[in-house]
Amino acid sequence: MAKTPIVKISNITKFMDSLARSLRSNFAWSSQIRKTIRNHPATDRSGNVSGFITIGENEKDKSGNPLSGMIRAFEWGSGIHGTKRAKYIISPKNKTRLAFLWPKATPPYIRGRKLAGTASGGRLSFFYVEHPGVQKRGSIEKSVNATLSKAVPELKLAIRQNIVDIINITVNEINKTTAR
Amino acid sequence: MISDNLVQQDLITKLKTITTVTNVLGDGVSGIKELEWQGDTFKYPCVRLDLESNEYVFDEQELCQLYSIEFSLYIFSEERSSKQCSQIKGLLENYLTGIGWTGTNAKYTRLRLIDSVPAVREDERTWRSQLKYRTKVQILP
Repeated sequence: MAKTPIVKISNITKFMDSLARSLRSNFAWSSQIRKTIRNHPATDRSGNVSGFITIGENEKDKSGNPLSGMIRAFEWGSGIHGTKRAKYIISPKNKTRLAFLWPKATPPYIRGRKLAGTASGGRLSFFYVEHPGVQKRGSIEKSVNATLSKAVPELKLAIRQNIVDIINITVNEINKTTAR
Repeated sequence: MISDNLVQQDLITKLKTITTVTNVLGDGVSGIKELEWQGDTFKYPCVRLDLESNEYVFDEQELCQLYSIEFSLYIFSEERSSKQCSQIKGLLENYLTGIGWTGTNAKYTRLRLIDSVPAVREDERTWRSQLKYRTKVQILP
């Protein structure tokens, strides 16, 4: 008897495509992240059909850190917006000081625990800085919720149709066998 | 026992004879490779083969030496629209569905199309479509 799957690869691929499209739409605010959204081929291993999407896989952000860290921060919030509810410290990695323009700061620039002084080009120099973190955007959560409400009923219908097809094929095969 | 690499070799050799497809691939006949090929120099569009299963069909006398295999063909394209990806899929589908042939290592009976996936975006630049086939394989004496 023909082995016919209840869930086809095309069903899962369609579902995953809906999710990937929603993710691309919800990550419209970052082309860097959006470009790394990848819908991998769905596979059928012994009747178990699965698919997966990766975001930021093997990619690095502008600082050379894994992009997944940035994605996680924007998904759930970081620093004072995250679970720790505290600023986090950024300290220099390859140099002894951090230096950048800070238009909001006004002289006098007094050396302290954080501030080291002034640097070239009107920049200020720091031993370390405290970053408040980023607010939660929840782009992945929004996409998953939107896709589940829209694509799950479609997937249910497709699976129901597959079951009907399997029953029809089986009945036909039984009829053929009994007619012999 | 017929090993996966021999089946894969036969399938790729067969695919490379489909000139209507190889003529439109970026690398010609070299544009057809296994899915997990670990090189990084290739051109789009391309076709990739994934041998998903190679199972022995049990018979008590063990005389048949019959196997059942399932494989998928993936078509990748970098065009702006999905047209090229779908066209190559159509060419492969028209050629392969229902055919049988004798390869270097085994005989392949009628290829049965068990799934056909329309083009979807794998990432922002790449289209992907898929054909899944099942066939019986008999080792050559």
